[in-house]
Amino acid sequence: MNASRKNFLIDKRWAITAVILGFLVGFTSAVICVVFHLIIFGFNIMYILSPLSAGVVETVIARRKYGKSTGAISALLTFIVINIYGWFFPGWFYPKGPVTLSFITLIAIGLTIDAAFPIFTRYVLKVVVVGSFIRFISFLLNLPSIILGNPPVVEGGQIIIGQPSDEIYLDGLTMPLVSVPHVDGGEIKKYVGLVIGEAIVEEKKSGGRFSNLLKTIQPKKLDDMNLGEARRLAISRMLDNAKSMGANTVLEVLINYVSVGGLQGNAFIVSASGTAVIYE
Amino acid sequence: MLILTTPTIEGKKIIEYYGLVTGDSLLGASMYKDMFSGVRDVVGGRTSKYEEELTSARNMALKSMEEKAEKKGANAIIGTRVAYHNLGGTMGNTIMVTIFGTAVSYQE
Repeated sequence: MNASRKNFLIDKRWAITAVILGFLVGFTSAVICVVFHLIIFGFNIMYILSPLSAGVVETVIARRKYGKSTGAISALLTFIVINIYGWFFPGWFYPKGPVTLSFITLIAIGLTIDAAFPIFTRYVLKVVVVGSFIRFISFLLNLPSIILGNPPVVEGGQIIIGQPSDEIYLDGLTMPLVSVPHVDGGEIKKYVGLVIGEAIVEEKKSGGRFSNLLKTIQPKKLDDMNLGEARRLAISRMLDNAKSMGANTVLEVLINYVSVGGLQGNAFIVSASGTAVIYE
Repeated sequence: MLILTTPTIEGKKIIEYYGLVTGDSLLGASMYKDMFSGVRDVVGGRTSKYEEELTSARNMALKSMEEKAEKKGANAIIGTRVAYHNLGGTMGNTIMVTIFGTAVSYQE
């Protein structure tokens, strides 16, 4: 127990040193800013300068000695300390006015939060803001019909995977689909050509924006996707293509999955491709 | 033009290999286009509309590969592979479709 803790400390010693040094630098610069009254536009520059310098020092030391970034922990610490001092104890260390909300303060807070939690701010900017904007626009577009008294048809939140094309089940086929280029014991009468089928499957959406936000940090579950259904659909679409070209089976079937969609949610493209042939 | 995923053509002899032929196409669903045409993003909307666009992008890639093979004088493409790539970053709504294969000519 003791030895393993010692090893951990030895492993992480440069990371810890980097964080402490970064915090010291940030703290010292904040003290200097307060003592010398470095105020621009009625706003003490320490709110921007100190977390930035702390983060820079920490990252440089961590990269050089520890090998990877430590995530600007000291910048966050400095930010919290400075803001507690600025908002709640103004004039305690040195006489000065309290922090007031201004445009520059808001930008500084935004920048620091972005540095500390990049994924969170990306989510807010790209999903919440854009989503609210789109909702607002679509509300404006639908406004006339709402006023006229026939509300527009709203699609439900369930997964829509196109219309189910003919229910072709793999077991019911006269010739099995194979994933190899050659089948023994028969003869390929004619090659028909490449056939492809695609399907898109979405992650099931449940709950409001907050639970969706939580989902971005939780591990994915297989139940969240209707993958089997999408695969069946992709294969049956491929088979439809082959049948319409006059083939009776498909050789060398390959199935591929590509993830699309970022923070807004996840979707998969499932594609099946193969060579359609007439086989005896 | 015969397009196959198999490495050989059974019962036929390949006379000449012309080399690799490729075709790509991009599919982007921009936010503004989505907003006004009713085609929502992949996430949270009508997927089947998006699937139609995906199919047309794939057909475009296939066509450009076929043209390249024809220019080389081939009459078949063997060992064809289709791949879809996500280029979108955090929004994730640009998709690249790539198709590649080997152009050959075989004895009829």
